[in-house]
Amino acid sequence: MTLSWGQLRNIFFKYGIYAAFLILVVVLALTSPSFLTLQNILNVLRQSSIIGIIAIGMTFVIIKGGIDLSVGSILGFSAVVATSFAHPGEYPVIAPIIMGLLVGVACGLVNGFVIAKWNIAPFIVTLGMLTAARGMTLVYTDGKPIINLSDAYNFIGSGHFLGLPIPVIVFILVILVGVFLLNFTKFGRHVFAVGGNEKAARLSGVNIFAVKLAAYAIAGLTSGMAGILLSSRVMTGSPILGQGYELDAIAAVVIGGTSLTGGRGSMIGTVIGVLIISIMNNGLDLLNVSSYYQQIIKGAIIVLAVLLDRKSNN
Amino acid sequence: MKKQFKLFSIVLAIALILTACGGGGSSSNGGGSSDGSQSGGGGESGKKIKVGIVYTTLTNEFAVKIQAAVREKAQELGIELLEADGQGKPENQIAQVENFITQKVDAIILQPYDRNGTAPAVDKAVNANIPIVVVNAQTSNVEKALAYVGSDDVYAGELEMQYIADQLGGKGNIVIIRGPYGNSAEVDRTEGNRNVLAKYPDINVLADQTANWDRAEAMVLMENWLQTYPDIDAVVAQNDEMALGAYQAIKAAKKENEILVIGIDAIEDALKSVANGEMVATVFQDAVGQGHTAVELAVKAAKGEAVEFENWIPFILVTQENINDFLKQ
Repeated sequence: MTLSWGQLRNIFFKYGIYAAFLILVVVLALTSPSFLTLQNILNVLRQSSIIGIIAIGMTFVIIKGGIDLSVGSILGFSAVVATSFAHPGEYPVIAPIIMGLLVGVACGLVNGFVIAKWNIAPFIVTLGMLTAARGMTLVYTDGKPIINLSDAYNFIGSGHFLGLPIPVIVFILVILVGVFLLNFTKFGRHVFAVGGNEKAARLSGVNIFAVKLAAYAIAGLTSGMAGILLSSRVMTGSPILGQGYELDAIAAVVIGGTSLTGGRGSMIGTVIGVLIISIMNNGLDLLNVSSYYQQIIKGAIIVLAVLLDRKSNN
Repeated sequence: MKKQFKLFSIVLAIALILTACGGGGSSSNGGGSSDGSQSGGGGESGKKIKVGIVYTTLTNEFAVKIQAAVREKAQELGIELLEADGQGKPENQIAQVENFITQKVDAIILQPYDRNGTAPAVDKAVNANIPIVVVNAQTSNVEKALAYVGSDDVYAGELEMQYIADQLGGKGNIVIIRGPYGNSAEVDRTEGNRNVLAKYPDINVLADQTANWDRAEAMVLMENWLQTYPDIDAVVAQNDEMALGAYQAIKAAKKENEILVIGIDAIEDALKSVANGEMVATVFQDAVGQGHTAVELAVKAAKGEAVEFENWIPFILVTQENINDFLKQ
């Protein structure tokens, strides 16, 4: 070896996330021959796009210093409203898409408003929305899944464009917009500021109310998008769609390096976090690891991530 | 410690665990697709047949019974079995079927959680020219699959409702606890329930809701119903887990001598309950028969042999009279 340990460590510190990701890919490629096939890669990308899109929205909320437990329920609610407009021969396919997104944004705005106006802990408010939105979903559907959807709607989740599955294309677009908003706009800087030190941000003239409102609205919007994509992939507006997705999204954001205390983080980190989780799920499935062990491993990784995050703060 | 190092340690941990798992695997031999052959065609001699199975959720006792039967038959036939657990989500089942297709398995067995939600999985297998056998519940497009193995859930619904109607002499108040809405067993058992109810106008259905096959949910539901309806005569639950949950609530309210409880599946706990005179009856669903037959069909399909499309395994009513036939299983 011509490099010293010190130099090696520096390389890892600088390119850490990417190195880590690469190691994971290499190990899986060696242990499972189906892993690096084009079909599998496309599968993994498609399978990560739903959680990925939610995680992008969640990144804004967490960097701002909050959290959003309701994204899974908002996904479900958006999904059932959207699919109720997606029966063949009724409305053009743009209608369910708009309705789904509107529902997502509306729920997000409610979250943001309550949190910003009355200063209630985001955990509590979004927990309330988690339950309420799931309830609204059940009321809206009378508990029964919405079926008989138009081919155009189903195409959103299962179709391809330019060789890529549509959910992947949407994911890529959302990543680009997310990176741009967070890193290249005033809004993005304000999100970091509010998350880092709310008092200082307020004193330097940042409109805290607007930033909070916007962050949760973005999370709601991404949940709405995910709801449309997921319900289209399973061709059903099922009232239990999205249950538990909030935890996967939060895990992806945290593994990607964003701190739960706010003020620090990166969109690319979130994307890598999402990919690591999906690759892990995919790899463990390909290696035929029992689902019980998979859950243990996933849980351990998340706790490890938060633990190390806390240590690196001190 | 910088964040990048943190991420690196996590990934190293994952990598180490994966390498360990790659060697171990859980149920099949050596885990994963290490055949050495890429063509994945079916059943040439000297190469093991690879079958992938996707379960609804292994937290459900009935699915676990099917798993035991499937593993037993797979070992007997000497095939390689790959397993995946949908964990109650149709999108997971679709993804797992996609993974099996990528691994070029010779046949797929699918135990669908949601009649409509899991249907795309069947399409994918058919489009990839991999034979798919649907077991235990149907999808909306099951006719596209190569074969279906299951029990007639409409008949099960009729059996349980008819038994209660007979016990009540054709009149009384009942409540119905259903499976997850949209699940094919729920849809069919409800149809069976309703077919019989149509004959008995003097039986009132006071309430009718889902407890999602779950014991704890059913218990809470029953507790609430006991508060609301003072004169329930019987509980018709669409599976044993929920029947047992309801029974616990009834027992806690000290009404076990006033209310009859019936379920479907004949899982261990339910059989004991019937033997002890608690639940009044259950309907035996032959998990072993379904599991064995599913594997046999999958292997035949992998070898290119012809199979029957419909393979019905009968339901049997189990009461205290014939309980001893079933307790030994």
